[in-house]
Amino acid sequence: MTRADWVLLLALLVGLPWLYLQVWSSAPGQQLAILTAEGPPRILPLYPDQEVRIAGALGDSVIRIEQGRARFIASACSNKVCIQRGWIDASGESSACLPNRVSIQVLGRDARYDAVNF
Amino acid sequence: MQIQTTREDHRIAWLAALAIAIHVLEAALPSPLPGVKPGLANVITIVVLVQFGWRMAAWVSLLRVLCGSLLLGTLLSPTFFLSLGGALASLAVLALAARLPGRGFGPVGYSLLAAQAHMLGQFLIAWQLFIPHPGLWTLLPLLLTAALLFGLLSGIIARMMLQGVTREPA
Repeated sequence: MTRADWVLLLALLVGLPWLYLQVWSSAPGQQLAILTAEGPPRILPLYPDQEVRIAGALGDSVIRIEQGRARFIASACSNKVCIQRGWIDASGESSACLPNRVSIQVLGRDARYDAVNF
Repeated sequence: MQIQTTREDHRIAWLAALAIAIHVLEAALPSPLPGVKPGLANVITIVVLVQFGWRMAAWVSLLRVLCGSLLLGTLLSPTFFLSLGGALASLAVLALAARLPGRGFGPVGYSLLAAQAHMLGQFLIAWQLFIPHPGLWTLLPLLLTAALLFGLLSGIIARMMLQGVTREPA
């Protein structure tokens, strides 16, 4: 083993764990897409904090954006599944209020999930 | 008509034949993941690189890919292009590594470099041509780790071989 061999081996032993960290840690989302039955999707940044009121099929849905995550906090539906979904922050995660026909999805560099099935 | 062959041509043919035999034998081994296999045929490439230089190593390596695919029936199939892409990438990296001044790399270093380049080359081809999905990148660290282990193994075998053979006078 020459000195170059050892340097290379060491570089690989350091570089590969770094690559695992880079590739396998889920990227935080950067934007939030709000989709409604009517009209084009609205894209909002996940910073700074804000609350958005969206008119849906039944009434208004209120979405809160806080510290890079987002959730429904109120919706004009009966079962409130969208609110119980809680905070979403990973790129690709989504929450939907089907009765009110409003859904939100976190957008990022690359999506953590392609699709989520319940 | 007779084609004049040089001593070097014969040497290339013999060494390529050895590499092809290893390549074909290895194809019988089951693989846990597509694209992961020991790549022991590259031991020959490394030994040739150290003993006879890059040009001969390139001949042996490319002949191995071509004839190996003919024997296994994978010529022009995805497997062939992955194999070819990997071989070209490692040859490119070896060409640079062989130019390093001073003592430079030994067989283990060459083998590690070639294995990483081979994996990266075939990964990029797989990503560009066959599975252009960002999810494929999740596999990359695993594949490169496998390349590290098998590259190290091949390198150690190549080193033992080089210690065993003494170059016959030309």
